[in-house]
Amino acid sequence: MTIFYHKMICRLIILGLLLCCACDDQNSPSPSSLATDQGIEQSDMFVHSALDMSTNIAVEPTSARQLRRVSVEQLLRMLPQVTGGIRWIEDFGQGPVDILELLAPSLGAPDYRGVTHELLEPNLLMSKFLSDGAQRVCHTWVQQDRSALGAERTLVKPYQEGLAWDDRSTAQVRYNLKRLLLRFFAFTVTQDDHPRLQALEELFNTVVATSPTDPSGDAWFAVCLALMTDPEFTLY
Amino acid sequence: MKEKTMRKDQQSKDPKSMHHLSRRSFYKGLGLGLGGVLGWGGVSLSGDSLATIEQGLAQESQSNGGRYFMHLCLEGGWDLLLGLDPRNPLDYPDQDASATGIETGYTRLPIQFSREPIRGDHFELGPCAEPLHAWSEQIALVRGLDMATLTHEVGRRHLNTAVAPSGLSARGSSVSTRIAALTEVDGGQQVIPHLAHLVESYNQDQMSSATALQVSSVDHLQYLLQETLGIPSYMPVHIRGALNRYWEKQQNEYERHWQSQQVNTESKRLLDRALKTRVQARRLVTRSLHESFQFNADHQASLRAHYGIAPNQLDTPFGRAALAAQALKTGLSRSVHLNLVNNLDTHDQQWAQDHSTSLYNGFLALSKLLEDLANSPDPLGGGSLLDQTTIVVSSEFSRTPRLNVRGGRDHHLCNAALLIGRGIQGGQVLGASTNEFMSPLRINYATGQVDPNGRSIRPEDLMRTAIHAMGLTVSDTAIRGEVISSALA
Repeated sequence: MTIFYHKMICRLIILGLLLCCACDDQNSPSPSSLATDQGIEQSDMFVHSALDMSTNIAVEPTSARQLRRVSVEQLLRMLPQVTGGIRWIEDFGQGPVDILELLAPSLGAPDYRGVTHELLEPNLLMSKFLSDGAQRVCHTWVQQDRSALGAERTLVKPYQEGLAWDDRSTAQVRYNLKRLLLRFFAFTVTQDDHPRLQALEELFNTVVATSPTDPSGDAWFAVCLALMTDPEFTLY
Repeated sequence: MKEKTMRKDQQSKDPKSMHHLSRRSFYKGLGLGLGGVLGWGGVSLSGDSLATIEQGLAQESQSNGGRYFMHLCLEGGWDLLLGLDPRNPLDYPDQDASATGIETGYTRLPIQFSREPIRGDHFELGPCAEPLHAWSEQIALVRGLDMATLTHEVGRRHLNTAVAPSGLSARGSSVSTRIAALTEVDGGQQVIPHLAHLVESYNQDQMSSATALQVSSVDHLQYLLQETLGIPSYMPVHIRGALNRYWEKQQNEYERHWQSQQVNTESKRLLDRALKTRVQARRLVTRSLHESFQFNADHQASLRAHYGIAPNQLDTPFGRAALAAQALKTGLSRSVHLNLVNNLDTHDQQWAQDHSTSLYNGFLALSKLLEDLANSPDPLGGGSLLDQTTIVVSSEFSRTPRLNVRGGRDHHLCNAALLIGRGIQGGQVLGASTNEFMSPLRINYATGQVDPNGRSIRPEDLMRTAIHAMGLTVSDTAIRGEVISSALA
């Protein structure tokens, strides 16, 4: 019975996360209403039960369950929810194929014929998939987001009305990094000196400093890669 | 008991026995000590800790070269009369089937198959197992294996973990997982120590690195081993460098956190594995291993010719056998668990055509695999790969010795299996089934002969024997089977 309740709680958490992302997309507020006192949209507010909010890495709260990996089915739904509808699609000459669906059996998804049990262990193929898929998805995400109107953006939202997509002011960058931490990991960061926020900000600034042609695009691309290949993206 | 006695005798004769004894005593003492301390504290030993202790015991038996393991499955329940436990139709005429409970059905098979068992140097095999005769010197044929189930999942999972499932749920870790963990001490740079193809795999109590990488096709393995699917990389050098530094910092942050705080063991294990596989996945593609699995490429023409693989038809017993062989030959893996044949579950009239053909192809693919291994050197320098590899070939159960009203065969308890390779005394039959209705007979494990006072062979006995043949030791609590000593070389 305990396992049943744990599973129910996990499902509710995932459902909440998905709803949270969906709400963000469907009911995007006007730029002027985006910022709150804490600098994060209320629609993104969500507390991850498996994360310790005082540190920058995942730990198990003393009274809660242990971490587990998302299933392939969950990942299949997570990716477009997090990225505002982007999947890893390729066309090898026989029509577009969702690579995640293609690799699903090897990623552990049961076929309910010979395999009915899904091994929920992080594995090489999952890491490889996330590494390759993140490149593709993040590249598309940056391109689409850059050409979208402020309220329709999902990667870089304007902190204040009228801010351009490639605005790299500290407030704008931190605001969006906090948003993305919440969006990817349901991890709420309110303090600007939070180690996790600082690590991402350092990555952002490093790439800006070294980018030869497109500092903002490259920097948000790198942030997206870092978040999508983070173990916590697939562990909850 | 006999196993322990034999090992004690060997130790007393071995000049190195003092060294072995002390190390064994140390590990056992360590295990007992830890168990006592942790048990007192109300905490159990973690999987990795148990694996470390078993690994310590395994190290004692380490020899030159590598030790490899293959568990090859023929899924659906195989027909023993067509394969591993045939009967002569002259002794079992179909008209007497109601009395003998055995109906060979050989006359219903496609014309290319023999109408009677094929006699070899060491044993008879059914018409569809003819390709195995060439390897009878290496094969120990286990008959009368008592599966105690007619449910596919239960039979598969019992052989998979060597522990009887709880209902339908598997218990324990896969034998191939256990062996991947135990052979960690052999060295080598296997990037995927445990490869599983179209089979379930379990890791409940072994080290994370022994967890199987499950691939459903050769294409997917190729993808894993190369940069991308021919898609250009979007990762500029300056971003890759910045990300590498970010990941490195993150890894250090985790390690520092784990040292400073109490973190749930399983959560830590999962995070640790996720971090490691992220690094390994990037390193994998820097090697040229994928070329060994490009079965359609020109440079693999000889491999295709050997296995008879048609271009773009890799998902066959022959393609799968080639995958298994390449995994060991290239040093990619040391434990391979693979489904060689699907769709043997033939209850209807397709039995005559489909089952016989699939079974024959499975045994032919196995024969080609054995030949490939016999002609390939051990990457770790221990002679031929066949000498160093212990192979178990099994199916979840067998099919009824009588044909049903639809011209097919249903599920049957009495099974058979093959033990081949390292540590196995080939050229012999162990156990038997009854001459009426083909039920398992008890055997004496020391002689392999039928003995009413002996034991029925169970999946855990079969697997424990394979583990022992590799020179490995597994605890009595992990697998409760008894070693069939007569199967050992």
